[in-house]
Amino acid sequence: MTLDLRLVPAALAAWVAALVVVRVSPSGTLVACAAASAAAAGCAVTAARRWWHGTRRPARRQAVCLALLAGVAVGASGAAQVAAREDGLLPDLVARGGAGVLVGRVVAEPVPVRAAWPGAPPRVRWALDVDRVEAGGRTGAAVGRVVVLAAAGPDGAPTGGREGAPVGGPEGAPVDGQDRGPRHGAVVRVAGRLRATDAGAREVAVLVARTAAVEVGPPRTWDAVAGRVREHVGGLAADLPGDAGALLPGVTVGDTARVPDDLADAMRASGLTHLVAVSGAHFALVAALVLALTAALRAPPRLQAAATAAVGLAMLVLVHPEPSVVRAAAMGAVGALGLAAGRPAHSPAALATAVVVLLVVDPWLAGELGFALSVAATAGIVVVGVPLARRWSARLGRGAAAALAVPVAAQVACGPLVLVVSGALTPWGVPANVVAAPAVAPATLLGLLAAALAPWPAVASPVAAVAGAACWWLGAVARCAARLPGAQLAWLPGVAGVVLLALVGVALVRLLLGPRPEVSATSGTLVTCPRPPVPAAPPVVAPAASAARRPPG
Amino acid sequence: MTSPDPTPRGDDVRARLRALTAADPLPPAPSGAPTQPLPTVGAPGGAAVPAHPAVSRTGREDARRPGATSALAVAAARYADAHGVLPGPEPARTRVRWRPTLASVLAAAAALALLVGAVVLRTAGTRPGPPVALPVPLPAQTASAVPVGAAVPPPSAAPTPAEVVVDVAGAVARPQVVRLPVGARVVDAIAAAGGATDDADLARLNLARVLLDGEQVLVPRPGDPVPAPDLAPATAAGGGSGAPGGAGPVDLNPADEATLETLPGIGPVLAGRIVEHRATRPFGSVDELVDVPGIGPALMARLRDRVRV
Repeated sequence: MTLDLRLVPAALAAWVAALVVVRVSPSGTLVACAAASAAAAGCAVTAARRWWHGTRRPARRQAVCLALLAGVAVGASGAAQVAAREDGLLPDLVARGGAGVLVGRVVAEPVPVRAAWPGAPPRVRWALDVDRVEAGGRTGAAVGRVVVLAAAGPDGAPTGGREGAPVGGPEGAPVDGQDRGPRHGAVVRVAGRLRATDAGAREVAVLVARTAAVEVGPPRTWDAVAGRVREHVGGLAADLPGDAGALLPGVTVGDTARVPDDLADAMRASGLTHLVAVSGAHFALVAALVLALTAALRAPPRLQAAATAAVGLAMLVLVHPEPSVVRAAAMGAVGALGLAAGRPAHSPAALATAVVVLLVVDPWLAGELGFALSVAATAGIVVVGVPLARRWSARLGRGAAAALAVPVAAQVACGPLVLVVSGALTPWGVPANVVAAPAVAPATLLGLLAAALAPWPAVASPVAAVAGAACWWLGAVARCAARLPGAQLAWLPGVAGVVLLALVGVALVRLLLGPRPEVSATSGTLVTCPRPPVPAAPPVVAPAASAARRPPG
Repeated sequence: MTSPDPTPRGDDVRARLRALTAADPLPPAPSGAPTQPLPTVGAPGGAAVPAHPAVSRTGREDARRPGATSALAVAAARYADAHGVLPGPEPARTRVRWRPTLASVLAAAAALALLVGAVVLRTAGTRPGPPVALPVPLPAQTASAVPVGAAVPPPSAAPTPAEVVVDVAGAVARPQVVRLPVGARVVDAIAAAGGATDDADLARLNLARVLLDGEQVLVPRPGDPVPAPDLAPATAAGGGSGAPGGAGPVDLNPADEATLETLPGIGPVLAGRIVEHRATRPFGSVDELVDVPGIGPALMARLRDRVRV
């Protein structure tokens, strides 16, 4: 097997550059970019001279050059984007924490904010891509994303409790999804006071809304269609009891607004959270289904690819193309390519390319844990999971081996990152994922089918009920796994713990992928079979000489 | 390369392998040479030697025919480079490629340059320019009444909404009740009542104030004590109606300090700060009142319905 890691240094350099560029001023970035460009040019000139003199072998110098170039690319595009954000009236207003009126497009579904203290008035948060800002008798264009914190309720006014349905519900579940906030994709106008965010955050500011958002423009057509489908999913989920109804919108379209806090905690403790967030697996599942369907219809390969891409795009619109979703789609595509094509050599290259392109377009991704988790899981699956599946498929069969290898690889890769946030190990993650795996595909695909069939409730309800049963299974697995002893194991805190866990993961992989012990045919004892030697360069030896050197016996 | 193999297939295989090792060309087409002949190669003793290096574990046959085996190893490595995996049950050995060639670096650089150019162009297109001043809304214009009344005349409206009725009294030539168009000022009311008399003390009146329907304009004489009910409308620029404590909202931009002090929770200090604040930044909306130091959310909630811009 060949691992093509030529682009990995470039991806790492791009990541580091993206982490830096969103935290420093654009002018500083440009200076650094100029210096790095000069260094890269120097490398390139030397390499070109060697090439001219006939040395055409790949060299370390070229890897350095490529890494520098990736860093420069991220720096240049990031500096331009940061400069655009720091221009105009909005940064001024944010810096002095003033009040103003923002006009822009809603880019994130309103989600309930976890109550800061018991009995706190319910609030929702959503995000706005600001177009225009008005404050202090002046108005100006603006660029950037602002988080809006608003009181929950139809008017944006604090609601002590709606008739018939106490806020929070019996288990802390938020009440029905309607009128929680403005529609996704609509252009709204909202007033409030702006607070600055941390350095390096994607959001320019947090707006504590004082009034309800007023819609001044309708959503775009595709947003409206997506909103209707999501409403249908919500309506179908409302008819399902308990965890089934809570999880169905999550596994289908990534809408976690109905998931109660205790279930969310259970899923986190059992390593199943990725099922309700929109992850690469969503896209991989749907893409696999479309590929299988078109292949069954004997469509030509180009048509298959086009249909898969079209359905992937539709899915992207349906779950809203937020940055986290776009990177999930990219990682899902990379992972699906690696698994389906069975060409692990190209997967690291594809993954590294995806990382560099995503970071050039959106450098703020680098600081997001979701992106790091996504990349780590995908890298684990394509680098470790594929060989593991090959190794185990002789004994378990292909399907079972893949079903086991994917969660093992993903958990090993994501473990250190999860440790950073939660500070605890989730040792039941692999078994929980394996047990939950059979229900994931039915839940997602049947949920989407039910949403598509929603205009005919007589057909949609049974389909949604089956999907809901699968969701119930996911919820039950999560709650059981979270209740098992040792569900949250303490681990060495801090950087040392993360490094230690990463080392444990590497050792585990080495153990799983190492030379296979075999029973010696002659002695019957267990021996380790070494790898057969592969000669580095073909030795030119005459057959006679080779025969002469053959050891006797 | 003189292995005694009479079969034409073996010769064919060896010829291809020789071509592979000698010419150092690009890997062959995937469906071509390597896949088909790789599985087994006829050996001198008639035993089938597994051609795949991973499968041939003993090493004895390899030692006997080193040229062919190493050529096969090279071919396998090339196949692995091109397709990622080797045919066969077990990967031979993980090779890691770290170093790119100059050509791939240049190609990547060109692709990155295109991508960065696209991103920078798109960003430059949306870059916000300098802010512009908003038109300050005209104070105290009961704006909605005029266009609505003009566009849709109410069929049986007894008091036409397009006019105000005020009582002009005191030091005027003809104290009386006058009807004036909406938006008329105190000075218009005095003119409609025949003008002020010579002994009127007009300095104590805000002649520019917009008239409210149903109010009394009392023009004082120099010695007159100003009656309490009339003080508020007289001083409240565009402010409340007759009653002190003002049912009508106070306009934040033109109101003077005394008017601002009529608001609940606003004393002389806060009123002074509001005037100071709007001197640099006129209020664009009521919500900007919280920008004034000392006005917090709680006070803001009380003030919201009583002020406007």
